[in-house]
Amino acid sequence: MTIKTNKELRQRKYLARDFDSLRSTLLDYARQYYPDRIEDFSEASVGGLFMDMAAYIGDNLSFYLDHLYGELNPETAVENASIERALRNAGVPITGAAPSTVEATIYIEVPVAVLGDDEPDLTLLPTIQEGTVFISDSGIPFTLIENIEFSIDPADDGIYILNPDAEKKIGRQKPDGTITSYFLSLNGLCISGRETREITTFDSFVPFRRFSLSQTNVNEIVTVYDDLGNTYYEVGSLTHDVVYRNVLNTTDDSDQVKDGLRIIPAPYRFIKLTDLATRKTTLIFGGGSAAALEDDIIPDPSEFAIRMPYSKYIGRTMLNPQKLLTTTTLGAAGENTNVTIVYRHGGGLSHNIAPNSLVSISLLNIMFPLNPPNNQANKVRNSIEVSNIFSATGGEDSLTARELSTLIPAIKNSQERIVSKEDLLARVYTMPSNLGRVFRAAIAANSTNPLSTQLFIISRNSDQRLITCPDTLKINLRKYLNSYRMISDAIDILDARVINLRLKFTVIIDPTLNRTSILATILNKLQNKFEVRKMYIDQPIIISEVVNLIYTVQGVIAVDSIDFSNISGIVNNLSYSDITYDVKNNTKRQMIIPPSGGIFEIRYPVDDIIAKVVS
Amino acid sequence: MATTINFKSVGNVGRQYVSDIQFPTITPIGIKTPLRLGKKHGIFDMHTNLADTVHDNLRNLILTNYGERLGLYFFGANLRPLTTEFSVQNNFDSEAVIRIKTAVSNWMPFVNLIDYTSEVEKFTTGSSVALIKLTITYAVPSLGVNDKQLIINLHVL
Repeated sequence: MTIKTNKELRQRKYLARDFDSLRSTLLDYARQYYPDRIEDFSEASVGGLFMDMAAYIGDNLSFYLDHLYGELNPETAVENASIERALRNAGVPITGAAPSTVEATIYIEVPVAVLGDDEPDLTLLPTIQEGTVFISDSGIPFTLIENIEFSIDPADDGIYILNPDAEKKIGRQKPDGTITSYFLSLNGLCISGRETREITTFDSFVPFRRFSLSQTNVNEIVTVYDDLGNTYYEVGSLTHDVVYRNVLNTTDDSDQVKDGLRIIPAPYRFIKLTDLATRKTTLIFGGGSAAALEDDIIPDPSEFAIRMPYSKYIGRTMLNPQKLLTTTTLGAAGENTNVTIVYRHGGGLSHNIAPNSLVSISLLNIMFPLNPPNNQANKVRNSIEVSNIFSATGGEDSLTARELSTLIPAIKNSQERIVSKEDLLARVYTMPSNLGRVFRAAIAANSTNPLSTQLFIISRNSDQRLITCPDTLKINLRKYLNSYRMISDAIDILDARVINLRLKFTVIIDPTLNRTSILATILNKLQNKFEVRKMYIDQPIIISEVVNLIYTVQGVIAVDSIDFSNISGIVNNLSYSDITYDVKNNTKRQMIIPPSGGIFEIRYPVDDIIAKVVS
Repeated sequence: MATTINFKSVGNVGRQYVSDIQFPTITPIGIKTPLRLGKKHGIFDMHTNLADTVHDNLRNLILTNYGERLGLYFFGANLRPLTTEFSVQNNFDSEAVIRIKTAVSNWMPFVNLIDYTSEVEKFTTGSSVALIKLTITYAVPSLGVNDKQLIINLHVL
């Protein structure tokens, strides 16, 4: 049906954006539709003035439209607030200047117990404790972050010995050559920057209380606690109600895995925000009241319902958000207490000090495990000197807003959950190394459970040979992955199957050349090819590649035969994997295919690559 | 009791007749200044004569100073800075003439400036303020306007 209208259709152009084009368009419009009302739009006329004003307003609107649109994209945003918002949305942490680390060498002079002894007096060997502060010649403080123990108690039976890592040099001698003291030195890791302690008072309850730290470039919140004995934990988001803590692994596999992972509840928690412009850090505490914490750890959903006594109907969801906020769901904050915040701050390129720049001790935390007499302990204490053999590294100036925004695409791809196979592998490989190091991981679908994924893992021992992952590592991995796992996903952590192989081959070498030298070259190349760091789970061995590798050695005329065989158990006092594998039946099209979750290893390359030369 | 109203007694809302306003056949050209409500041609009172429009525009041009016109910073003759230097500047007239001529050639090049006369209209004893009357004679050949005079009053120090 055609609708007739008397309304005049007027053409408007929407392409004009700047002052000139807008003025020109307005002029055309006025001349087209209002020729009988006004004609004079010259610059000198009032009509021209009005036209200019309209164009000017249009130009301004265009400018701000462009500006606002640009501010939505971190690549084109220019305002700090917009860049900061984009960084937060993408999860890019805004950091200040980074501190540097340096290995400090501590020197002490320790007298001998009895003249003529070739050992220093063990009772006078101190432990320089973490928290000791050294000062560089440029005035930069470096804090020791580990204990330096000059004596150790290996059997934990109260019998101390000199730390074998300590370097010992003869100190003072009498004219007759009798040694009276030794100089000992040990290294310890130090980090630059200062530690600051601030105390604030939480009086009445304030949800999501904010506290801004006075110092800039905060690297780390060391600890937060209140007078009531509550510890506040830093979390990525206030919805995170647990944190992970490393605990010393005391089980049999402690040589493989230093720490265990313990999940601890974090009812008192905070998040950290750093302002892009000022680089000052603000802590935002939980939104729940500590008073409700004792009896309301899990909110009672029935309390959220809005009572509707006169209605016979209910809506889909009846939640009182205010009620939700007063629970500990988003963390709790204390009230009527003093909260102490200890944090580390400072850094920058200037903190990368040159060798031998650590010159003095600003704060010395020292203890003597065997409680020697004070005067002797003081002598040792006064002899302490510090230096650094290597330069400090890692110090960086703050990233600018523009530099930070370039990180957004990369960070956006990373995420705090496991969705794809790549996510799972990335999480496995990035687990903190003190919780155990997975050498290789691979993923396979579970044929019996479509919601389950099989994760095969394998570790290496100190000899760089493949070993089954220690149980503690698997437990740590389970806890670690669980926090990133989707609720409906299951991950079966399985040991990868190590298939040890032996390679025998026969080559024909040019008789005019040195056989030994050529053979050594071949063996060297093969050992290099089958290095364990080049092997992956589910990776086949392509026989023709191996043959080709042998052919590349100058002097090899032909490869007469090549044979891979499985080796297992204990052979010639060498320990191999217990897994037996039929190599012949699993060789297809010149490729040896491992079983699902299997990894090939030539465990002892010197013994397991056997060459034979025929003329 | 029911009320009966005859539609013949019902008036019309004025806005229904906006489109029915009958404009005179004389086409308005430009807006008169100072602005005032129009009686014949819409919101503003309008010039219907080109010569008057040019005259009005020329006066506004000469009375405008730099920075006063939105978007056109250099629009105007910029005479105001001269008004505070009248007593100390010997060449007030020549400077004013240059400024007026520059502005006209830039913004109203179709106007031919012919004469410039200035005279002190009023000088109050005891006060440093004087009223200067500038008389500008111009022509607009394209409109057939010859020797038209524009009088500008300036208070100077």
